[in-house]
Amino acid sequence: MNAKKWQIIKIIFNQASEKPRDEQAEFVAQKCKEVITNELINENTFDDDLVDVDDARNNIYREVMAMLAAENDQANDVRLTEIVSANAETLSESSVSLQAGDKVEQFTIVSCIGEGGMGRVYSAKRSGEDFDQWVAIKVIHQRYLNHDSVLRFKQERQILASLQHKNIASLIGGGEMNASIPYIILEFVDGIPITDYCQQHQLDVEQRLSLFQQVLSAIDYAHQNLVVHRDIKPSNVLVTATGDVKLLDFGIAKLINPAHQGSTSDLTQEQMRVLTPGNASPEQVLGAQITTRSDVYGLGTLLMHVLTGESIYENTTDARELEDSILNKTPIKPSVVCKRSQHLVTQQRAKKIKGDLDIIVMKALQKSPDRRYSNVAQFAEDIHRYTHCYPILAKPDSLSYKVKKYVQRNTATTLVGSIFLCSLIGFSAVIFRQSGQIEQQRDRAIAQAEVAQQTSDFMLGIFDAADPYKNNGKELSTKQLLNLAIDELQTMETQDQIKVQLLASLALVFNTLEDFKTSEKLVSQASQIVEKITAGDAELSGQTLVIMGRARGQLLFANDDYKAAQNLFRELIDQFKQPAVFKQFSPNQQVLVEAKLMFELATVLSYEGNEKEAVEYSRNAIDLLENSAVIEKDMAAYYVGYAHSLRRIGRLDLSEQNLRKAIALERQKPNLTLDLGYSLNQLASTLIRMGRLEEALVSAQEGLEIRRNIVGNKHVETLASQGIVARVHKYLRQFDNALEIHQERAVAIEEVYGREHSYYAGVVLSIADLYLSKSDLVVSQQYFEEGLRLFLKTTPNHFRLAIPYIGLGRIKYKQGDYQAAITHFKTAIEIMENLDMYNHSFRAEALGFYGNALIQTSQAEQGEKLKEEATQMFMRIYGEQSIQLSAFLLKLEDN
Amino acid sequence: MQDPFTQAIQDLPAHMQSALLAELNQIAHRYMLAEHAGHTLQATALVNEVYVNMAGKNINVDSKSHFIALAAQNMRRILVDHARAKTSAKRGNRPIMVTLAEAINQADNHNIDLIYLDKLLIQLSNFDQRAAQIFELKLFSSLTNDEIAKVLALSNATVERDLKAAKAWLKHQMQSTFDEDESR
Repeated sequence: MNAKKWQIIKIIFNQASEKPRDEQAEFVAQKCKEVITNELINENTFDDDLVDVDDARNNIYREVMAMLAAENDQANDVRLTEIVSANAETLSESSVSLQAGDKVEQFTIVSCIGEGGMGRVYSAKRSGEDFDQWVAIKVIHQRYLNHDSVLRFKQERQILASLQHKNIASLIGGGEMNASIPYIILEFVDGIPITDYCQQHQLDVEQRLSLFQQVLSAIDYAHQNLVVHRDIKPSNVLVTATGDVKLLDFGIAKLINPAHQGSTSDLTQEQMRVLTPGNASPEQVLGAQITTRSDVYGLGTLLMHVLTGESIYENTTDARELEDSILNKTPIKPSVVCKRSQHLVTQQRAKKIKGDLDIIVMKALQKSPDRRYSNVAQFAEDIHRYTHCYPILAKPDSLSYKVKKYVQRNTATTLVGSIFLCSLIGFSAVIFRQSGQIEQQRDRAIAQAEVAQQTSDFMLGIFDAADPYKNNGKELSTKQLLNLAIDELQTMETQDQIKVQLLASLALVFNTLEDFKTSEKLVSQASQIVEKITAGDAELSGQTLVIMGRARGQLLFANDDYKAAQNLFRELIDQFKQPAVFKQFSPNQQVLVEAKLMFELATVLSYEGNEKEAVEYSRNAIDLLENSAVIEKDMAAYYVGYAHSLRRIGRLDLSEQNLRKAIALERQKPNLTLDLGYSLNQLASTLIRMGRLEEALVSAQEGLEIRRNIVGNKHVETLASQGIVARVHKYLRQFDNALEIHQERAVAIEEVYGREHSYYAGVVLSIADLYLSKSDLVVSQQYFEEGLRLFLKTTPNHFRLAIPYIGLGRIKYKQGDYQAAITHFKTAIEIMENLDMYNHSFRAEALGFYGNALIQTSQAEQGEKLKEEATQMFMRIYGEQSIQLSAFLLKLEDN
Repeated sequence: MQDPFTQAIQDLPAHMQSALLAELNQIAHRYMLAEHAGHTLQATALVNEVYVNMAGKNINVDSKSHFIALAAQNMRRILVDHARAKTSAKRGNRPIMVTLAEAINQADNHNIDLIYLDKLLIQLSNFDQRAAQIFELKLFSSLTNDEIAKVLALSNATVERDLKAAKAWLKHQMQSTFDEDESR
């Protein structure tokens, strides 16, 4: 073909292709005639090829028509691109490859296990006498066999040689095949990508984090050895069957030591930008400087993937869009990704991840390196802090956050649990809320805001002190924390009203801790200030009034002065409802405070034995809360208290119903709670009363497990739960099971409280009672006597003292010593009557047994009368169908 | 010592650099995204290869179009070299220490086609260099016609006319190969 001829062909072809198909032939023929003239031929335009004008016309006509035919043959259009891409594909696939059986040094190739970076990876083994040594051999691709790539490949070898860490696949050797093809021999890692491992093993968040911590440890180590990995992604982070993490592929790693930098590294950097994988950091995309913070970003993408099961820009396949995402798009929070997942298990993780883990991941994924964790150690510390419930570094100061963290990490280790801290935070939160809500009274609002600010500062200071990271690594116990708070308060310069509120709320805390001495000190200190305020003609603010009142009321209650406590709470409710006071509270506050006061009054009433009124007050409190939009975090406690009183007055169905409400509420919480354990135990008690013993056992045992999990074996709550489980066994007449539990309790209680404690006395009596049930009178007597001795020493004025007397009386009765029995029963009755507890089951029991003994001593008439009275009383207390009644009647028969 | 190519790239303003590299990436992507999603990885490998190859040469890059043209040219050369190596590899000697085996080749015909196509392109360039270059860009960089026009500073109409003619001619020349294909 000659250029001029082609030009003619091209012009005619292009013009003809615009024409309809059936006109093309005629058009081309016409054109050929027009264009190809004798002049053209004479000028030898087509060289020596075509010297005849007709030949030329025919020739060009054929050429153009063939091209037009080819053009119209659209089936072959794709062919050309197909040829190219098919070749591109085989080019990518083909490379230097080793085959099974080939030898590299002393290792025999087994198979090709993957392609990474610039090379292929093979598994190989060396057969030994005892075991085969497995290795991975990485060989550079033939098409990377140029100077720079080989240098880079060797650099990886050099880097690996400098890294020895249990979570980094280690270098075994390396060399060059045929003096030019470099290879690396590595520890063979028989594992799967970390994300696959998490999915296959259905790991929970904690387990995922624990794997991730191994990654952090490896990267931190690499950084300390001046190596940046630069390509942290799931396929480079394998987990073995034993759960060990191994980091692979330092293929594009770079030494950060400037001495090692040269053109090679620069080239690597350029290439990174070409690659743009989803895990690339913004600075990698931009080709800016790569630092250890680029690995922090990489770790962020990995953690994101590990937590959510999805890669960071999962659905972005277009390269430009991906780069745009990396540079400009804020990633979706991991908890949100989880929530959107179609898998239920993933959705469930969202709750755990929301909050701290979101913040940690997002901090690592900041676009600007300066805003990420400045090093991997810091990243690791925040993960550590999260898993140990310490405030994370990435989180700004906030009181409720710090309190939450303190409570989380201390529920399991201190005796105190979360209740008291809730009241503390509740107190300051009350003030916070209020400060924003009183609008009609500007002055007061400002004053309240000031209170809020000061309280918040005060509390923040306290909880800062509790942070072991700011306290020489020592965790402050709750007690220490509170003592610190007291000290701070003494020296605090503030308004009197605020000081009273702080003192009183601390007193409330100490009440919960049952440290009434300290509480009393605080209250009396607060009282002095209150007197000073009122003497100066000023009025107490509503807030001060309520908090002081509650602190005093609880103290009276703690001192068993139920009458005084009752009066105080009734009066407090009246004062609170006075319009002048009431309007100082926001609408939500009005509901919360009134409910709280009513519930506290109900509790006092219940202790006093006035269950009927207790039921009324707790129901009113619950109604108030349920009919408002106010959220009471302790709602479950209201239901339980109400249910407790309902059980006492025999409203068992309603009691069960309310306990189930409480349990449902507690089960909604992300973690197991002590309140859940408590509610389950209460349910067990109600079920016992209903005679549903098997169900009761299940509930009691679950309650016990929960408490044991949260507070451990020797905590009072666990011990109480054991008591209930034992009680069910007793009713099921499984005395040995019950005995075993009580003996275990006795050991624990002795260890924690010592023998000289009413609690120990209680368990001793339970054991005594069981031996009595087993008719082992001698042993039973020993235990009852020991219990009596201990009660006399610890709580001589308590109605429980009646128990050992009843027990000893029953033993004497069985032994036929009716006079001695009568003496014991009479003592028991006296104890109850001296305490005004005429309607208590202990008195009923004593009366019944007393009646039996009278019958034996020829006073049958009076005896029968007493037995009848006792039975009636039992019926009143527990109900006609109650297991307590039948157990009592059984005992009465037995004696 | 840096090679002149790398140096030339680095001398460009930053935005230009990333534009160039994005372009290069794009080429490979468009190329490989043809059918299987799994091809993306190979595309990056290919671009890498183009890049490395270019970086090793003593080439001055004075413009984006030059760069892209070079990329396409390289792509073509690499592929053709590879195709040639494949068709002759069966007779090749094996190194003694390790066996260097070829991956199973299911695309022998494509290899041959490509070699022929390359020959035809060389022919075409002998009588219409512009059309050959346009077609090379079209085939080995997968640029759109508009982009090709920009890169080569030609009018759209020219590019389209050249492409149309070149393609028709190539298809016509290759017709025999295709026909053989059909009968297999």
